[in-house]
Amino acid sequence: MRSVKETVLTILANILALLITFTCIFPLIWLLYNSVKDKYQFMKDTISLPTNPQWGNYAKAIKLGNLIPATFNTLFNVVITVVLVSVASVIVAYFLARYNFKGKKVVSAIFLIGMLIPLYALLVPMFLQYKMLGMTNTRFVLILPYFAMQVPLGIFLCESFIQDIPREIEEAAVIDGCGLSQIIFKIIFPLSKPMISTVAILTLLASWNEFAFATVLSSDSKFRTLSVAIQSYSSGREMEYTLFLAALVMVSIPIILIYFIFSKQIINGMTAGAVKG
Amino acid sequence: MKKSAIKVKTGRIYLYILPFIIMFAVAYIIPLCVAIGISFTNWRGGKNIKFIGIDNYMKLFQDQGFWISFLNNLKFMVLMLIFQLGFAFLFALFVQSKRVKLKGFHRRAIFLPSVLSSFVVALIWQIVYNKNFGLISAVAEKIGLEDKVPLWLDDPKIVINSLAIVLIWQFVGQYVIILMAGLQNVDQSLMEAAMMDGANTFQSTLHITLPLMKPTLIVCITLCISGCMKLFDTIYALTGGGPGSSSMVTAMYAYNQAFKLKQFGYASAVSIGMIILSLILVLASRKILNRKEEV
Repeated sequence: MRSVKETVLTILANILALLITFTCIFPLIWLLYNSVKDKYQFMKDTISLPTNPQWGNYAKAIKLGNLIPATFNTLFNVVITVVLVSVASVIVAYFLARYNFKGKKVVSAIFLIGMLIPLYALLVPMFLQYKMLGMTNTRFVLILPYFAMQVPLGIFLCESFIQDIPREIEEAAVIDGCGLSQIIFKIIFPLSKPMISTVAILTLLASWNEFAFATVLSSDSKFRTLSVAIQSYSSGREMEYTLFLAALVMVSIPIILIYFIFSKQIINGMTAGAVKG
Repeated sequence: MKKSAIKVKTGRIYLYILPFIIMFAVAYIIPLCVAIGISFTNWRGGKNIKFIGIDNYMKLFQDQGFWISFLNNLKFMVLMLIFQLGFAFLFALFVQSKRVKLKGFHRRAIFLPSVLSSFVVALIWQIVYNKNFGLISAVAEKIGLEDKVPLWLDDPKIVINSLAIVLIWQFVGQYVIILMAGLQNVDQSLMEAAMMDGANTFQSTLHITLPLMKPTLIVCITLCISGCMKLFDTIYALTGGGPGSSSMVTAMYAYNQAFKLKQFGYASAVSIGMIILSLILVLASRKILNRKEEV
């Protein structure tokens, strides 16, 4: 008798859990299937599944929002930022983890500032600086802000990782005649690969998603990123909602795919980062 | 610290790290200094720029708009601490219990919105909240409650709650995974022992799990507090701080001063004020929470 009761309870608990989770992600599913409705069905009934899927919505959305150059601009920023942040994080973290040098405390304090200051407090200051330099709306303007946004977390994650790498490996390398740069690039980098991938993916997500700095520093249609392109969607003429939904799906799909492939690294990195920040 | 494998001169170390420090400084530290400088002027973007001392800060001190915005940040903070952390804790406890299967699936699914752009998420919710064809209106219509649907984003009385729902929906997963990781470290045998002694699930959660989870909860609380000072994208996309200033937050206020009113001097002072308030809040909360832990 008891085991029957247990089974029923277990089934109920699982149904409840699935229900909660399903409700939580339903807005995303809803977004997905509404993006292929024709506009009449969308206006009439937003809950039912599409009866006549309009895959052409996607092509129209790309054309209307000029999403191809925006994708290129986004990727340009993302790739450069990811490379810079990964390299910088490992190198700075290595010296912070292994050496005592003059000014070390100042160096770590400088990067700690980045984790303590609320990011958007810098929106106006950064705009003013780049305006004075005449650098707003240029191809490279977002690289430095994105780099600075992510590098403190990268350094922190790599520092604790490198501390756990056994010193004997480096000592053996020195005996074999390795110099400093060889230790860094031939030993520390390969050994830090798991952490580098975490840092790289977190940086990728953040710079792909970033909106506020992009709209303030580089809203020009030539250099604008995907998030800014999406913004101009909703401010344009009579908005066609289904196309807008298709555009939102397209911006999010790469992120969702990356998330499902690398969810372990992402979850670990974000948790560790949260604990610190 | 143990000695490093090889001896390296300080100069050589800086050869490696200085380029990155400079890049970071150019992007982060120098704008901060520039803003401090400009905050003592009346600059409005043109050629005229005059040093006006601490006038901007005096104005900031008496500026109702700024303090209303800060108060709204605090309102968000209270809502998030209670509902976001509360739901996350209950959900983590529930999913982590022995009965529930597919733990990995639940964890991944509920964390998914956290990796999306908060700007994009806000735009999705703009459609979810839409009165004519939004998801909520449509569901309400199906069950005959269409008259009961509030004006989510246009009613000054509830706009903060509506925005908080969006933020909770997006970021609750972050707290769920942190809390689930924490729960894994709670020794299950302690719970079982308490149950043997006749405690029910509620009692053992209250007296055993909760105290053991304190360090993890502190992490969540500080994360939540600093997160609420960072609010911008969601507000910008959904209400722009309105209706009126009912959902204005400090970052949005600084943005408006700079880009709508072109008061760059004053906007800089607002940014600096925001940094100071947020540092006080974050550091104070850390201090208070950590002291409690020691007792």
